[in-house]
Amino acid sequence: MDVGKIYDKIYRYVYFRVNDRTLAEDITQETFLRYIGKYGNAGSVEIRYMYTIARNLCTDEYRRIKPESLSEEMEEIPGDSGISEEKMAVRQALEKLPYEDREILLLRYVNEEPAGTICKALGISRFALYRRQKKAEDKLRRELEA
Amino acid sequence: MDNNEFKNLIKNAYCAPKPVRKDEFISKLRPGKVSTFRMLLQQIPYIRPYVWIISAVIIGIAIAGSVIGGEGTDRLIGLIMPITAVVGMIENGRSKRYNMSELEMATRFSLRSVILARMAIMGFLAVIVTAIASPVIANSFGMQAVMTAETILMPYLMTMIISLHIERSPLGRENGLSSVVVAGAVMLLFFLIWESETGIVLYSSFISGGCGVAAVIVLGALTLTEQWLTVRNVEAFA
Repeated sequence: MDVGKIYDKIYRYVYFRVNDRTLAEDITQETFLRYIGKYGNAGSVEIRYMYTIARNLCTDEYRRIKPESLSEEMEEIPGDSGISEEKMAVRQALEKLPYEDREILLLRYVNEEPAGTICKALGISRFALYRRQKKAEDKLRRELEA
Repeated sequence: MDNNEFKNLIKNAYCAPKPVRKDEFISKLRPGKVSTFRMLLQQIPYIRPYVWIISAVIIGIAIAGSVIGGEGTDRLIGLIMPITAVVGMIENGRSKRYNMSELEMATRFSLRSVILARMAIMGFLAVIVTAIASPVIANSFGMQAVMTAETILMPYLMTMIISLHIERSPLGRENGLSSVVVAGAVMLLFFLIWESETGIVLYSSFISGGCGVAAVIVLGALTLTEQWLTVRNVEAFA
């Protein structure tokens, strides 16, 4: 897979965890450096390992900084000022979901990762993934229709 | 709302701001160091399936021969082993055959290290086959495992030595199938020895007198020397 595409996926994943562009880039780059330090090459990336590294780095960051200071920037994306009502509604509905559910939807629909990769990255079974995905989708649909 | 519409809604909602340091970071990204062991592991998937299949077949013959009770199983495997040597030679010459040698010499793993890794993997495979087949056969027919291993290894090592030597010569470089001819000749030689009454008597007394172990050690050392010479002169070999 193209390194640029992997960068985008990891960056997007991290960004929606920390809601801070600079921090998201720092963590993304740290993820790459750690991966290369351990596995040698970013060209033949096993992306599930990168997700795991990124996830752990985000957790470390949460421990270091108070979560409140990280959760305010989601609606202030530069160049995204003309945000549609529909998009805003979806974001608000997503905000109401537990983080784990949002994470699954992001990995599945936005980063378009196969189920196997997500299962390995999150350390869950396929059955658990499908159950949680279905639950998250139902919840989101209900929120959007409400 | 249909599924696609729903997916697109989620996709659009997860719109992150563009990363600003991406290109700069990627352009500076350099691959890290890879240990020899990891490099070997990385090369394993590039070994083609038929190599593993042949090895599995040999182990299968050893087990089947032991169960059925075919007494010549060790010799049969000894006759098949040159085929694994040929397969190894074909694997080593893959870069050359597909005109990839020049490119591989300029890539992160040099052609030299790739060939070394392939040889190591193939050699390791032969050791595994011998290590599994010898005790299985020896146990079934009341033979010594060492003698069985000698019978299995000798044709293999002889094929390796001669093939590697010829592959480095101008004749071998021009003719891609020289190792096949060598394997055929070695198989025929051992077949004739084991099938003739005088030959089998001489062979049995040779390996039972401890000369077999010495012969395998010498052949093993010669194989390593030939492999070393091949890797050292890999640019000419390519």
